[in-house]
Amino acid sequence: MISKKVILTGSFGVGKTSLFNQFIYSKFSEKYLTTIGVKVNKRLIEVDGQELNILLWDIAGEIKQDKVPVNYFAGAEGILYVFDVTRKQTYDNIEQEIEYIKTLIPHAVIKIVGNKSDLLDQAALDALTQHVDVPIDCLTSAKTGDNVEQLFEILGRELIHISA
Amino acid sequence: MIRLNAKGTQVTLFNERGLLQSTAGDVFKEPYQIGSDLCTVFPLLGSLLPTLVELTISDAPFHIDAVEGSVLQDGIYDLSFERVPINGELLIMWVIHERSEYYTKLRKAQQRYNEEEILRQQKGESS
Ligand SMILES: Nc1nc2c(ncn2[C@@H]2O[C@H](COP(=O)(O)OP(=O)(O)O)[C@@H](O)[C@H]2O)c(=O)[nH]1
Ligand SMILES: [Mg+2]
Repeated sequence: MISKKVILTGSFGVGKTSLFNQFIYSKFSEKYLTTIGVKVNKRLIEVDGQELNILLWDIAGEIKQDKVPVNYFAGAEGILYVFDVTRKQTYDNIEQEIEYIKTLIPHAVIKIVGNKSDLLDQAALDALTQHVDVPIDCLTSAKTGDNVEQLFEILGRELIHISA
Repeated sequence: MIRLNAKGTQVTLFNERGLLQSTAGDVFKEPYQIGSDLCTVFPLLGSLLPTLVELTISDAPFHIDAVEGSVLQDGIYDLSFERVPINGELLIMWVIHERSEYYTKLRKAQQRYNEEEILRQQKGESS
């Protein structure tokens, strides 16, 4: 069976831990508890009839050279870069952040995720594409679970193709 | 120097396939038998094994800091991994070291900072 290490990253408070909890435990909490360091768990998914073991890393904080220890990224094959659709500051520097991640792990599949989609209406979500400098791969809500399964399916499909 | 009998410490040896060779300490919630596949028990280890087997004996220990895990006693731990030759086999030595007090303080400070910063950002946007 194929196993892939996937990392959730992005600014604080965007919903990385909430996506982790929704994907692994189907749970959501309104309460914000800042992540320190890292938690890892796994879930087996099926993509196009093939089983894939996702080893998911929920890490703390922002990607800045000295803030997130580079070791966390070792061996990662998938990156979910999460921003908060309601907070501009979480996607303002997205292009540089992605460039930096690429220098850490050049061959990883990177998906751009706008989370908290439940807080905006469709028009505002549509308008986002003009404000975010990189193509958005998926809009999710860790709260309602909207698009969370789809997100991992999209990523999983690409990860399987790469190892094929 | 790590004292093997220190509280909040676990020292484990495993081979390149992730199979337990020896362990001592009080951090694992459950006892594991020699030969257990640690990668299935610890997803973190499962995803790091390919990186760890690349380490050589002359490499500095590989650190993963501030880890929480359901198979470890409640707390926050620093992990380090290094290659050690034992009885003609090149094993991986994994040291777990508890640092809950330090990280709990850090989390509180970080939480306060993050909450204030998020509020500030939200205010800035609505004005
Ligand atoms: N409305 C809404 N709130 C969310 C969503 N995802 C996370 N949150 C909230 O945003 C805050 C930060 O979430 P968290 O997962 O801790 O963010 P992290 O710092 O990126 O791990 C928490 O109060 C969550 O309840 C979402 O999809 N919708
Ligand atoms: Mg978090």
